[in-house]
Amino acid sequence: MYKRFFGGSHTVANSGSEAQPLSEWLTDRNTIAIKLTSRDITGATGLGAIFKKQFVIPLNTTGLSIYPDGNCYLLKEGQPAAGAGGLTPDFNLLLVKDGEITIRVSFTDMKSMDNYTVEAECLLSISVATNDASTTKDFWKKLFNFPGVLKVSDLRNFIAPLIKDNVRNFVAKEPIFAIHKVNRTNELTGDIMECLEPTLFDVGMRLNTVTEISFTSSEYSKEVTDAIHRENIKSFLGNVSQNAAIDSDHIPIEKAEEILLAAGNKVIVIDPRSGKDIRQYDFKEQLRSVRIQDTEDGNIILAGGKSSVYLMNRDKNNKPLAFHLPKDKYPKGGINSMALHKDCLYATHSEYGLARWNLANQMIPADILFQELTSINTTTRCASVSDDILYFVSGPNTYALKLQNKCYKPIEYVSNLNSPISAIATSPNKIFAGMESGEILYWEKDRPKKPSIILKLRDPIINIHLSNISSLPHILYSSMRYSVTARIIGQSIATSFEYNGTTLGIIDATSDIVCAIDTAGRNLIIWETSSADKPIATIDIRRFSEQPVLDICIKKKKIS
Amino acid sequence: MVTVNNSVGATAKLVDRKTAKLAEERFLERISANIFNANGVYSPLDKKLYDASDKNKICKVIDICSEKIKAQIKELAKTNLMALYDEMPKGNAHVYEIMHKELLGARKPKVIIAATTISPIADLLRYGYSAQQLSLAHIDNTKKVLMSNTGAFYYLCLFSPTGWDNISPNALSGSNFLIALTDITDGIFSTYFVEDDRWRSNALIFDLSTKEEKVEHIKRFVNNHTLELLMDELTEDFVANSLGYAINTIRDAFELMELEDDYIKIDRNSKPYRLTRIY
Repeated sequence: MYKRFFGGSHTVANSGSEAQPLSEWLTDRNTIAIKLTSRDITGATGLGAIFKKQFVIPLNTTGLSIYPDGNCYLLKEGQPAAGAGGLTPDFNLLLVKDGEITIRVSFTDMKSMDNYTVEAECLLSISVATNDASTTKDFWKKLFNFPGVLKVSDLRNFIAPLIKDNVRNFVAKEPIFAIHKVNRTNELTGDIMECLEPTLFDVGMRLNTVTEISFTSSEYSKEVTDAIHRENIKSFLGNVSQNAAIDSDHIPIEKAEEILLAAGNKVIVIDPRSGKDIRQYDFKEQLRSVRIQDTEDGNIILAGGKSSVYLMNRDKNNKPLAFHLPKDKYPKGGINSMALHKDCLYATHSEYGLARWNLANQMIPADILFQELTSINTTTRCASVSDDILYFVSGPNTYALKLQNKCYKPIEYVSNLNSPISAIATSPNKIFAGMESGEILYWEKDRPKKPSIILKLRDPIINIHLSNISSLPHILYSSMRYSVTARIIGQSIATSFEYNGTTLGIIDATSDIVCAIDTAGRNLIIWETSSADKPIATIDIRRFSEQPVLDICIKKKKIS
Repeated sequence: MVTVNNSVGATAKLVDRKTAKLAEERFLERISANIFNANGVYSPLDKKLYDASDKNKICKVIDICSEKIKAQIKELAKTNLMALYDEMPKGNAHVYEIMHKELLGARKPKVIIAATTISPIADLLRYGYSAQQLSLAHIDNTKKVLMSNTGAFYYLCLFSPTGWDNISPNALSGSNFLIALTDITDGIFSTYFVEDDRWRSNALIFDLSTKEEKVEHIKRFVNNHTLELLMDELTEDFVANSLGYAINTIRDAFELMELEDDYIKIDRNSKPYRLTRIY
């Protein structure tokens, strides 16, 4: 049913649906063209018939007045569609919106070369060629030959079959990895334009650009997601590659005798089984690190302060001996790690680098070694001696210095990562390193330039340790998570040591116990390696010191 | 007054698509402006002058060759078809019907003034340019499309951006039509009218160059005919015969040149006036 309109209440007929006011048609982004009769726009009855109200082509539209004798006139915006003089006979008026129309055409049933179901989407920019009466007439005659309104969906239905074959053929020739979420617009644009342009030209439309052609395969996407998920799980579970495997013989079976904590200016010694403190040692300054080492002279506690290392022979109950770093700096941090070898004491400090003292000359400040290696990095950490080799890390690399041969050039184990190493653990043939960026990697000792990443976590690795647990070589690591994880090296079997969802930081372990300090540095949690589900002891450190624990060390006893 | 020029087909002009389209647009604009200014139109059939005011004038645009252009574009090009079409002159005919209602009877068109451009479409499409002069066959084809009303007299103005081939004056007039041929010479529209009394003032509708353009054209002509100037042979009649302009226009141009150039004077003692050079 056609309604008449003039003035502000223009209403036009819509095929098979309710009449649509012209203002609605103008603002509806889904419409392209509308067909009216002169009676619709001037009014044939009532006041409209008397005054012959003039209809003006609205803004951003073009009109084509079509007369019964076949003549067509192009009317630009602002031009009157009919004069008031009454000379103009009845005519039809086609109104077309100027400007570009974006058409999104989707195909869902394509098959790639490797038989994946592919969904393709083409984004086309087209417009009605309204600058010429002849082309606008083509549009009316060949495309819009029905009454009412031409919608974007009508145009999409017209275009889709035209390009479907091109897209299908393209997809059929490509393997899925080459098209899934890969921008191949440029390659397909030529074909689509060649196939679409003549038809659009026929119907008075202009193909401006093929904006985008995208291909997605939910089937392939799911496969990829599953694969990534599997990879993540493998990674999360610490699926250490078989190459990383080491013999259990390489890691000694050790028993924990004591746990030493560095808290404030104290070293607190705790019995791992009872959880009770055995003894406390006071030092002159706040401690950053603690180690314990058996030597020929006795059991020596090494305590690292801000710029000094303190040695205390427990067996002889001596007062701590202070070994100072050169006083040319005012360090913010402290000694990260210490190790004794024969008559030398080695310590690492992020601001100084690697320091060495001769135990016989306590008053002489430390020599800073390999400054050319350490000064370029912000961190120098870890110092451990094994088989007469001193291992230390600086920045992203690990260094091994043979002490016996008096070789003063360390071997550089390159990580090829940008992140600093936070912890290392050594076995006779491998060096394991935990990175601040979350990776755990290892080197064969004879291949210092070829690191292999065996694990990638989202959080920084804080500590790693190697332990022989139940005659299986384990790597234990902490990473600001709610658990300490112990993985069998070379397998994906893992054990989590947890305590009430507390985030855990510094750890140490032997074959029989695992101990960790929570990230606040307030609680020491001890588990037996045989029962990870429940700790055997939780010790509130505030009983002994108001300061948080900054380092932990287990006094280990090898069991033959 | 527009004089008859017999030099149809003198030179061919090489034009490209863009130039041809621009020339077509200018041609139709000027025709439209001239018809808008025409108050009365003479009909040789009834020997009457009809009122050509807006209320008695119906303007129609007849699409003569767009389908042909489109078909050829589709044959030639695979992409950028619409861009190619946009560049082409369209060859639409603008037809103005001067209506009149007798005391008893219906309103009928008495005089029909039509103007259209005929372009060498094939060359323009294929090569992008053309110098093909158009022949009588082109005129006949257009005549067939435009002249459908036997009761009206037709004044046709046909424009070719590439110029016209030697066309017999006999083909340009008939019992119910007169045809004027237009091209662009020296940058301005030149219209060639067959000698016929029935033109009357209607010829002015097809005179498409402005007076300023004509004066400039005459000045260029004089500058290019130094020998005639030195030999005192550059008379009004010589210029009129060469360019086909009215004597008044030529005299105005002469006077302007006399004012602008101290060494050029008009010899007003001779008839016709002539330009002379003094030292």
